[in-house]
Amino acid sequence: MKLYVHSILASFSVLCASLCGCPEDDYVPPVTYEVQQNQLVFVDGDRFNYAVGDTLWLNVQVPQRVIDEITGQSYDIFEITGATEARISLKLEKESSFTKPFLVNFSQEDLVLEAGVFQIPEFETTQLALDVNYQDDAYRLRIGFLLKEAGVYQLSGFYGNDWQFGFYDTDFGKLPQEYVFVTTTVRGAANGALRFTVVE
Amino acid sequence: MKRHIPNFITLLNLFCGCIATVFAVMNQLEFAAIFVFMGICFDFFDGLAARLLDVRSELGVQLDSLADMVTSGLVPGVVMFQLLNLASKGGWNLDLFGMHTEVQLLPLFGFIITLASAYRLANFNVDENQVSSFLGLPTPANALLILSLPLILFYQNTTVLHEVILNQWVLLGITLISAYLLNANIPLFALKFSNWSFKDNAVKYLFLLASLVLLITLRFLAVPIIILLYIVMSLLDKKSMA
Repeated sequence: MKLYVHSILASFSVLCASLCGCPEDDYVPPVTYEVQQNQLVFVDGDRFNYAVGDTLWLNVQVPQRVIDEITGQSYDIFEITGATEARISLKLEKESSFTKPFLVNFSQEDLVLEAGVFQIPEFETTQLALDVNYQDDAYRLRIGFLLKEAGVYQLSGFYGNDWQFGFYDTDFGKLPQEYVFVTTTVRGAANGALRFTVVE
Repeated sequence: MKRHIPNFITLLNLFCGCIATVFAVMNQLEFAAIFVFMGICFDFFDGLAARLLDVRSELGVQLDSLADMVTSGLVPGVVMFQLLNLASKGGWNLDLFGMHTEVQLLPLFGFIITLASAYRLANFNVDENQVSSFLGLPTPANALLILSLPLILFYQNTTVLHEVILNQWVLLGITLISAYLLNANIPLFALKFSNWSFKDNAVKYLFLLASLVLLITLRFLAVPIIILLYIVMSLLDKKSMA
């Protein structure tokens, strides 16, 4: 009889526990800050015309404290998120007279890194993942592209023309999580994409 | 230190799930059920501890889902696999890499429950609306439903129940219904009380009372009926609120 009562109570408790929905209470959506600060990406000398054999140096400098150009609000990325890096994925397109621009495969030999990190995914060589690294109050990247073929090229975000860097909270124990998304442009470029010409 | 307490309890849930998996694979379904039920209790207490200690975290939420995936997702799948294995007769003779083996395909359908649970848990993590009610059956309740089947066979075995539960088409039907309920767009109430007033919580109190009566009279056989009752009462509750 005692065992029977215990088994009923145990089953009842488990039933209640299974329907109480406690994990859901724990969810707190992250707070995201969208910041638009232009011209944080630039090429050396703001040059967009090169000859074969030249190197195009791409620089990114996202200051630790960014100011949203729309609202005027400032955000200290490092203070908010503690992030020491942020990633962006790029694609390089070459214009063709016959068809629409085609994607160029990246090769490690054609890239020179001076600051930050780059990675070419093994099975997606048309994508170049770049990490800006925190250094001296800014998130920095400096990478050189060795130009080997003539043509008109366009470098832009892999998933759209936007140059957007996502800085994510590093303290996973903190609630709510805070994310800062910085959208920027290339200095001197007409639209979101960095368009440049390489001649023989 | 105190911020790690809820996560430790969640890990105990996961540990119970691991042990239950071992028992389920060894076809010791009764012990698998016991450890799943213990896991569900830990699942309840981790959330409670997080709120009481005010140490809720994103890490805790993710860990909770991963632990649930094993305890309330993988184990019910393995249990259904074993039940379908018992129910199905005969198999396909295959030569794999020179080894002769007999393969039964039907039991593999049991893992539809695991797949549906994974989909539900992932979907849940990106849905901000499921706070005071659920959309679809929660994975622990579904685990309770599936794990009650071997317990009925062990403790309340009659020829009729044996024939019904170990019928491959019935098991397949339960599997598909379970997978559907996990991801169905049906609002179900959560057994959560913001106050104890009978007026505000009439449906919940009635459900608890009915569940207790059913458990006393029907024991483990009551579980599938309670789950059905839960869905029906949730739908009626929604109707009355509308």
